[in-house]
Amino acid sequence: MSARGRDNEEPMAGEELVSLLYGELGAAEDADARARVSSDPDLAARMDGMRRVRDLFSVMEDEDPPPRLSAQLMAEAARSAPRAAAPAASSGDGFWARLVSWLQPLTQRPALAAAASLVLVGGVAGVLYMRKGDDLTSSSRPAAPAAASADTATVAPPAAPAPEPAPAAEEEAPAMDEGGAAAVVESDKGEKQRAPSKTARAPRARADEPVAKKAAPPKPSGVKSGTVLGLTEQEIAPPADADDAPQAGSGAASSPPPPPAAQPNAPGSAERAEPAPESKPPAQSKAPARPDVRDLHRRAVDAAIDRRCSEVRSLAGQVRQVDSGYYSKSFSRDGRLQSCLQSDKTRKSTK
Amino acid sequence: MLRDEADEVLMVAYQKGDVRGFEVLLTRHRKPVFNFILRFVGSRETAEDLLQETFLRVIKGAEAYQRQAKFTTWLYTIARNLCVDQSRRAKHRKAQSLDAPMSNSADSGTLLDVVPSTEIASDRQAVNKELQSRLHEALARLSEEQREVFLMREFLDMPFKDIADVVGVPENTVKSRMRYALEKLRLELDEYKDMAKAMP
Repeated sequence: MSARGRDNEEPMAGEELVSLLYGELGAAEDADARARVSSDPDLAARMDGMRRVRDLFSVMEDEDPPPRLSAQLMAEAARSAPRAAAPAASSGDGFWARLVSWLQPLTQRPALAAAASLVLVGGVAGVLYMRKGDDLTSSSRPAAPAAASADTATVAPPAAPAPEPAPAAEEEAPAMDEGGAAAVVESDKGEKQRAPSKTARAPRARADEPVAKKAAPPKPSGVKSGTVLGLTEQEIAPPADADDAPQAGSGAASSPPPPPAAQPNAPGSAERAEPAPESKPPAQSKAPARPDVRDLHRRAVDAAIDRRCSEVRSLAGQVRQVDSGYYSKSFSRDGRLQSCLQSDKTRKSTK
Repeated sequence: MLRDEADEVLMVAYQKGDVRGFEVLLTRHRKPVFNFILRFVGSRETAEDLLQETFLRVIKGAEAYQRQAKFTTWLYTIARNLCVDQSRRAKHRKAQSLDAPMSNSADSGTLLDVVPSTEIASDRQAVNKELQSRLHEALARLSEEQREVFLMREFLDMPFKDIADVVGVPENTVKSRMRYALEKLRLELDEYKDMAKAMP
């Protein structure tokens, strides 16, 4: 083969020849290359020369590295094993093994551990804070319906409710402002009406709640042990007469803004009035009992003063029915009622 | 049984702290890596240092090892790079003297003892010794690029594609270097071309 022809063929043939020598050609290429080599004496001679080189190096002896190197490397490998505790952890695929593998980077990086601790503490504090807020919100729910149950029927709608119940105190602030503004408007309306009925007075006090809460702290006198947010059942119940109304108003002022259950009082939301929460029935069944007896008692005293003994006797019968103990201990011993009650006894005895 | 596991499995085992994984890898690869280095640098003492350094780098890099990577490619890349660095450091020194001993062993001769020898030793052991020296010498005369390719393909049985990965050149370049290496060795060892057949 001429030098020129060899140059033209060589780049391709040389790489092919090497690939053929080391068996790295595909089946078809291998067969084609073998055919070319066998048909070209020059290629065959070069191929033969390469094979001889390989044969020569096949007798080249390997030497062994010194054993001390292996010992040193094994010692170093044991000392620098990436995760010394990993064998125990990897032996089981359980929760603890995974937990250990997750936490291992933290133990190796103090800064990361410190950051993780901060996040953990912050998270726990946040959860506790949120839960505290929820507790306050949920514990205030029985109070508001109780107040509402006495007021809603005859009351003008209170302040415009906040769009959503605000769980945290900080978040309540905007809602209170909004409610407070509405309460001021409502308060102005009340001023214009001037002489509202007894029942209309209480809602006005409720409408003032947000303003009162924001303007002045709750009165310590209104806070009693065994109360709901400082309100006893009697304070939650509607005032018995006009003199009690301001007290109720002040008590309500210390309560938080109305929760969602109280929202049916909002303008135009009467249709959306929802049933009272679970805690409402006990409040209703207990609340009327004693005030009624006292109310009856008070009305009886008024009637006795006016010498309306028949009404006194009627009220006495009602009191006896409702609470015989109260009747025997308080009502029947009331000196203001004795004249009417005595006349009743006399009348009975003459009969 | 760890001894039968693939290199990559063993490396992951060591990555998780199982030193036996590294032990099997060391046992499996220390000899071929040592001979690759020894034939590359031509000095046993240097080869021992570089072998140690190679496996130390494996130990240090174990945490960063990813199972997708072929272990031998990684291992020989480390070894090859150490050899190239060593070779570059030695370049400023005087080229190997023909009077310098070929190895540290006490009975090793000099290149002058073996290169122009026309006298074929009758003794097989002497012939073998002479041939071994001539092979080392022929390898030393290859360029680094040709030598590393030849060593990897011939002694480590690495496919050209893997060699290309280690060296960082296209596969065709590797084949081309291999062709030139083979032709140069053929010319260097022409007088011994029939000797291999006579060897045990």
